[in-house]
Amino acid sequence: MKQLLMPTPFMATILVIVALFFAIGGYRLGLWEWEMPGAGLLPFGTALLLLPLIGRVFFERTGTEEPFRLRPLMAVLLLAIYAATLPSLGFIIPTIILITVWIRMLDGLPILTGLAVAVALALTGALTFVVLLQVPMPLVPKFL
Amino acid sequence: MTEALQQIWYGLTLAATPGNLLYALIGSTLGTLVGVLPGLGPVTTIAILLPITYQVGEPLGAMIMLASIYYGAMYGGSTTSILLKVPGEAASVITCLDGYQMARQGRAGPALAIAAIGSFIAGTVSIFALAFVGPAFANFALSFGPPEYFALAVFGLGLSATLSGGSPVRGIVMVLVGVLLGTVGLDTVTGMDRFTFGSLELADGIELVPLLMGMFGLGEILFNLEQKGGFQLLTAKIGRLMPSRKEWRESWPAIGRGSVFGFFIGLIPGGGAILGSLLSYSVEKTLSKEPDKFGQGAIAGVAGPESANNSAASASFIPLLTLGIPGNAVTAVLFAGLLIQNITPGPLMMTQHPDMFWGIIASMYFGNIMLLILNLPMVGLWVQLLRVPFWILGPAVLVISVLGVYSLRNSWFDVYLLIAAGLVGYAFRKASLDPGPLIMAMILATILDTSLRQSLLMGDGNIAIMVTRPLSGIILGVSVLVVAYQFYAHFRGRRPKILDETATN
Repeated sequence: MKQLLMPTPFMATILVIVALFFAIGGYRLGLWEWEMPGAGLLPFGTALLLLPLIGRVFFERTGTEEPFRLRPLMAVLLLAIYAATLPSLGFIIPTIILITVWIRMLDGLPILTGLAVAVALALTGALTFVVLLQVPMPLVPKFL
Repeated sequence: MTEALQQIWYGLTLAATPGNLLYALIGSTLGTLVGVLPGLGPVTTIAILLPITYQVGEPLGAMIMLASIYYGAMYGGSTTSILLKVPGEAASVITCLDGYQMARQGRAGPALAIAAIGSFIAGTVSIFALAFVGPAFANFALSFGPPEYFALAVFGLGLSATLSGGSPVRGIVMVLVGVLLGTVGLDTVTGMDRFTFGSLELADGIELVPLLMGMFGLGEILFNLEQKGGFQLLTAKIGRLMPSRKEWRESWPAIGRGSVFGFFIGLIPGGGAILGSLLSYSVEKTLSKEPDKFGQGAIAGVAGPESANNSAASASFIPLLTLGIPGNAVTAVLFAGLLIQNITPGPLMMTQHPDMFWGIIASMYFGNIMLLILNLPMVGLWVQLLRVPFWILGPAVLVISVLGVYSLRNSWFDVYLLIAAGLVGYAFRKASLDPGPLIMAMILATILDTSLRQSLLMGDGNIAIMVTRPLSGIILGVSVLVVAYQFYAHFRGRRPKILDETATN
């Protein structure tokens, strides 16, 4: 089980699921219909070619491979929460919170340093994109 | 000959307007600025900065800026290769071999200078050659039918999968996954929904820019979170910049040869800069009177590959602009940039958008001059950027990515896609799976799909049409031979070590 969580076997397993999804989906879309190649021909054929190659990758050893680390996965979790709050809270507040927490948790720096960098980056980003380039990104929460 | 010169002149008049020169200057500066930051290679740089070009509004200006970003990132990448031994992309690994050794010996200045000058000369030679080769390529491509397009797409993907670095099996896997992802969206032939789950956001296929920015930009940031202690800056002092007379003598022939090799290899879809650099390095080592100095700080080992690298980069615009086939991950990003501007590259681009074609090519020349001016006297300033700590760099890339992706379609879905692609990019990187061939395949999936189905219709359902037509038969035959040889060499341990060791950069 532990071995399955190494990057190569883990990704190979995910890719098998992806290939099967496209193979079944492609077959359902139709391989040959009304005397012409169907919409599912390319995905079906590609998925069939892919499956044995993934099998080969699954057992291929790169020698230098290291397991997934906690820090990037924590960063992804932070990013997921950030993305979920953006539409309702706007850009500024979630960005400041994300970067402060990111720098504190992932880089181990003092919270004030994180806050200073976060405010600077969020304001520079908002000024450049929203004010100068006129991107209609909501900056503040909807209820304000 | 006269016509080509007239076209170059036409391009120069388009590119030399104050507005376009300004875009070239902004692009070169931004490209160098981001490209020099440790851990961010040309693909990542262009992917991060792509949405900024969307704000330019005018297509030629936007593409000039994007091409300049590309060049700038390549120049910036040489700096990190020489001073940090951190190659921004696979092709720069070869520059690291002698460049880093030169820096260790206190010759960082000449190494950086010769990389910049060699790149400038190669870029210039290549741009003029492009003006002559481009129209011939486009005219030839007009005679292509669906089987030829299918064969070319297979050729480009086969080469990029097996020659871009890393294991060829993994390369092919990434290409096939890219083809699958490229089929998502409305089928252009039957109008059927394919793998969209009923989502309107997926009806036009998976949006390329968030995917690129996520896999290359965010994925890189997540991967770098694992690295403890950051990068070791060898020296902040560059010292003497100009090479000595002896170093010049050793460099000139290498620059000349590198420019020529790079150009021809860059013309091949999927050939890429890494092959050009590798070939140049091998030739210089073979021709050298002191081959044992290679790997120990031989300046020809920097001059040749850097020139070949840059020449190939310029030449790779030909398959992109005239065939609509991106030759490597970087040109795949540029392809996305053209699509954002509602321009579909292909054989008709020269007749439908001559201003774009000649304007982009001519602007590369101005971009090269600007980069030489920016890079040589200001190299000390760029070196200071190498000190930017990762705890500022990571969040900064994050902010630019989120805002940049949102700016394209004002869509939160794209922001979610960016973050998901970041996670996938990190996982790919951990598993030594290079996302470059995947992106290329996603772009080429439409060509593959339509040309395969049209060919089958032409051949009354018989796939043999692909090999009975001479040109497509030859292209497919060569593709099979090249890919088969790469597999054979990989399993027999006969591939150049660099190809097996460089995976995702």
